[in-house]
Amino acid sequence: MFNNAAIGILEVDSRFRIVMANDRWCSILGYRREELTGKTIFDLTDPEDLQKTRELNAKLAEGEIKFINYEKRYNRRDGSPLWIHATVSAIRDSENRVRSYVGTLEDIDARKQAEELLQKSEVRYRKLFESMDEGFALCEMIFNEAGKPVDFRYLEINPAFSRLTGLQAERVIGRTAQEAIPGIEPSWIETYGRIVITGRSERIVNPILVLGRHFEVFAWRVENSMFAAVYSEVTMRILMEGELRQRAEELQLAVNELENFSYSIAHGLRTPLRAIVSFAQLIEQEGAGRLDDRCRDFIGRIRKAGSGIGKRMEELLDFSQLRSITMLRSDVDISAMATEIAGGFSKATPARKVDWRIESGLKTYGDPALLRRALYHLLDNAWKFTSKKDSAAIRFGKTIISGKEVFFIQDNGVGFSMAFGQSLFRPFSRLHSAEQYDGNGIGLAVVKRIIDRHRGAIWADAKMNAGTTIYFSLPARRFDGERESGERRGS
Amino acid sequence: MKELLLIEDNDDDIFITRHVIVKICPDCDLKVIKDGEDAVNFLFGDGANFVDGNLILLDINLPKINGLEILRLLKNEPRFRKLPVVILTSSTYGSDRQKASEYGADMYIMKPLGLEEFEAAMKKVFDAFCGSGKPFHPGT
Repeated sequence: MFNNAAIGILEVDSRFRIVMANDRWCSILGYRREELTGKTIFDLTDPEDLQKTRELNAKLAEGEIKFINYEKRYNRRDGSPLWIHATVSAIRDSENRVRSYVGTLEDIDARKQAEELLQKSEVRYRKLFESMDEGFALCEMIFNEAGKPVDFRYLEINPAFSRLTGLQAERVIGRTAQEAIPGIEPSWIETYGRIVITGRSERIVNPILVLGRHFEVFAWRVENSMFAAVYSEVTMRILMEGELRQRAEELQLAVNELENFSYSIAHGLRTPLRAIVSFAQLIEQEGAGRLDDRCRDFIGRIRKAGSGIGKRMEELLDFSQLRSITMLRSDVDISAMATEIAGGFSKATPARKVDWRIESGLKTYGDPALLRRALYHLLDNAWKFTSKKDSAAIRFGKTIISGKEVFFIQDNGVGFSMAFGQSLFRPFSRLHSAEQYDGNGIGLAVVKRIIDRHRGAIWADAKMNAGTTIYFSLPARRFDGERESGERRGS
Repeated sequence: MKELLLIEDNDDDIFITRHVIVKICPDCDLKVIKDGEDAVNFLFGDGANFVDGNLILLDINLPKINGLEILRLLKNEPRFRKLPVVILTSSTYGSDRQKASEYGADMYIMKPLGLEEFEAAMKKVFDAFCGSGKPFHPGT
């Protein structure tokens, strides 16, 4: 029974040498029984607790105390400390001399370690609380008789709270918000009141104007009418956001103004331009017999130049609209689109023999009407710039460049020197004269703007007299934040 | 005799429009008013009977009262509701076209630059509203 007890039992002689230890006692400290022979309990006690152990046992020996009941550390056989709960009683002979001591021993190491951890973590949290960047406040909501939140009292704040608000702890703790910060916005009390009433935490951004600062606060109910709030100052952010918003508004105004300007220019110029073209035509029709060839040629030039201005104005308006037009995206069979456009060219000019090689089954995602326009201009360029070739070939397909899927349109036409490649996508930039090749240089600018609107990329590769390849890529999926609905302008 | 009312302030445009109309329809009687307010005064005054079998060609940019407002007034007046109004404009504003259709314009023509194109557009107007001796508007 002694050996099978659930707690360790030890008997030592009057000089504290171990006489007997039960199995449990041995197993708690990791000793075999024979190893304990001749050892005193002081040999086994952790040096940290040796003095305490000696003092208590001396008192017990002297009879000052009846028994010992304490927590202390022994060293295990491997030297590691072990917290135990021990009781010791003295067994005395008839003359009241100590014959031996009997003690019990209970392993409380797990509990002690947990307590130690808890204490350490309390210290850690206190340090965190004291040193964190965010302000912290523990508060209690104050309600009126009707149960309406009317103010709150600061119970505890950390140093960062003082730093952020400029209010020292002694001016805050124990005071209500309206006492500590006279003029504080009622919205703070309303918000905290709501959090306390509903128990739902909230993240808010609010100013305290009397402090001249903006705060972002996360607040939650702790218990009953108590709530806690973590503050960070966001004054700069709020000011910057305001500034940014204002800049964006100004920019939008400038864009609108520019658009209005181009519309009114276009409109204002159209009427006189129409008069120039129409009256030139009237002279050609009605005055033809009275004009010599030279004058007829002059009138023809006036009419043509006028028509040219008109066409250019339309293209420019069209081009400027591309920026604001609302995109309506869907899956697009771009191969079918290319085939259809190419068919149109061949049908319009059946005399030209062009070897079209259009890869089938290519799909993409975008605004079909805009992509059709882009593709039209690209194929139109390829068609145009191969017009002086005996065996023109135009390819449309897909390839992989740097791991990305890229569409390309390749022709074996006149090409251009890459030295001028930079200006290629600018409106009205031309790399060939109008006599050589028709057009006024808006096409690639339109294409670029359409690809830009899709947040894709476009670039060219060419050599003089060795053909041109235009590459473009389109993002596979819709770009978040892009407007998807609304009216198209200028329809 | 068919009566056409052209409300237009630009002399060049009046000349060109008259030239084309005379070519298409030599019998037509073309009345021109060069001011939005005058046009409203006429239509809601002396010209109150300018309804049956007639047609209005209406510019948008007009002095005092603009063409879209005239259109709105006309289409809100039961007497004129069946009088076809063709907007004839050089306005490139998409919003103008949208408003015109909202207010009930019967046709919207953006004046082209060239004479031939303008003639073709005006032929369409005549085919739609005064073809082969029919009254200008269908349904009467």
